[in-house]
Amino acid sequence: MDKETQPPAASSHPRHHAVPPYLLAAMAACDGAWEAPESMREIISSQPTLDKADGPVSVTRTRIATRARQTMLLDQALLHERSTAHQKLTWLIEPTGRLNRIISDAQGVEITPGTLIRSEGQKPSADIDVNRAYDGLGHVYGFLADLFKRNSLDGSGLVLRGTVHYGEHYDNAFWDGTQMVMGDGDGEIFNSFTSSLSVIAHELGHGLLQYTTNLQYQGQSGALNESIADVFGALVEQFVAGDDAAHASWLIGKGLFTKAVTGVALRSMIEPGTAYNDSILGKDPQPATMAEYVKTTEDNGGVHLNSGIPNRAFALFAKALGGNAWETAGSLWFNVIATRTLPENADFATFAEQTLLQARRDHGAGSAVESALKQAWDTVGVVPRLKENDDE
Amino acid sequence: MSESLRIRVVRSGGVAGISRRGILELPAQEPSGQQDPDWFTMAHQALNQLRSIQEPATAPAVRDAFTWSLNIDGEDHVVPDQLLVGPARTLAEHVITLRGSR
Ligand SMILES: [Zn+2]
Repeated sequence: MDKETQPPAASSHPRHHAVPPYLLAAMAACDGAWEAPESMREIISSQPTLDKADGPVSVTRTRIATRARQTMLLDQALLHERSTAHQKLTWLIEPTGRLNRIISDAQGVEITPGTLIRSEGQKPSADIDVNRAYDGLGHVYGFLADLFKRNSLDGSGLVLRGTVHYGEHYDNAFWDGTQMVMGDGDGEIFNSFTSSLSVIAHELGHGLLQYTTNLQYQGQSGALNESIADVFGALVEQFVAGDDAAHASWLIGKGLFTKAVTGVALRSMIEPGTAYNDSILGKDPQPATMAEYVKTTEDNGGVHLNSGIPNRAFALFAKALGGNAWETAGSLWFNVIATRTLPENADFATFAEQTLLQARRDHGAGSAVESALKQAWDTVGVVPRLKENDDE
Repeated sequence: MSESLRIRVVRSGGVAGISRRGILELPAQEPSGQQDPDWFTMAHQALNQLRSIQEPATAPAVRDAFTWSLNIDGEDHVVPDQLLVGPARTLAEHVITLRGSR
């Protein structure tokens, strides 16, 4: 249903086969917002550099780089479909690499990584947390590879590392900049943090952002960072379960609360603010619209609260389109962060505008996809901010 | 050290985004050294420690870490989880277990 007329993307990149891959890579890296995979760097550095002057040229350079990165994404997808015919190009665009997982055990201490307990290809451990972490990382890798033709978080086969049993009764999971770290939970309110695939994938979503658009972890850009990690977490879980947008729970962290808690999950993307209402925890504080935006100095400016607003926009958009959320809606979100068209301090309005531009690029102006997306942002009260020199 | 002392702690953030907070009031009449443990001494050690914490120059890459806000005797300190160690951590973790105020 999203195949309206022949892909507009193809017509907007009429010459993409005429541009040699090394030049494309150099163009994609010319604004400094993208680091070429290792296998490309030597080739790029051996090519004559593009104009290095500053000023107005840098605007042009940003545009050149953005275009080139979009073309590369398109190329990556195309090459994958015809990988046998294009072996030589494939190694350029996609450096060799494969799934490689390493799980360590912190044994109740707040240290990372801890003791190596299961590496890639080894048999399941007797420890359920080890196995859930290992399997979760595998699902994340498979999701990126199958859907976005991306080789791990960095596109270059980054080893996926996880630490389990971090700290004592530790009520958290986090991404430390190099790996995910999972606590066991206190057993009274929280179960082990490995018990939810959406939480595992959420942490890896932060890793994906770090290697694509590293949104600043404060205020609205921080809430976008959180939201995109939630989108990633939900999509991996839906993909593995085979749930389409209509049947998905849109919950983050289902199964994480113990039975003592009155609540279903940490967050609801489709109905923010309804995930729990408990005598000890209180009520889920997430806002569902801009009118309820939470101003606070805690939590880096409420990054885990205000993420409810863009979360809901995504869930509404995906449900309006129907089918699998990871397809049209998910790839649109992925393209926005992977092409690095977004400034790292982007607010909700700027992000909304970039998603709409991406919708026009991927599906055409006036398409059903674009209008569903407009409607979603409108419902949550985010007014996309138009910027000049958007020539799409 | 003989005056009363109030310590307020908030632990915010984390992947769950659920804050926990607590207050510890140390009455003036209770002489230092007679509590178990000696929270007065620990609070002053914590203050000295918090005043000397150096924030890294570059923004940390860690995501979903807890953020701690400590107010000791009217003095505010905000500390990322990884930098909260020693007496300040012991004190902070103790305070958020009080009053069941999650
Ligand atoms: Zn997060």
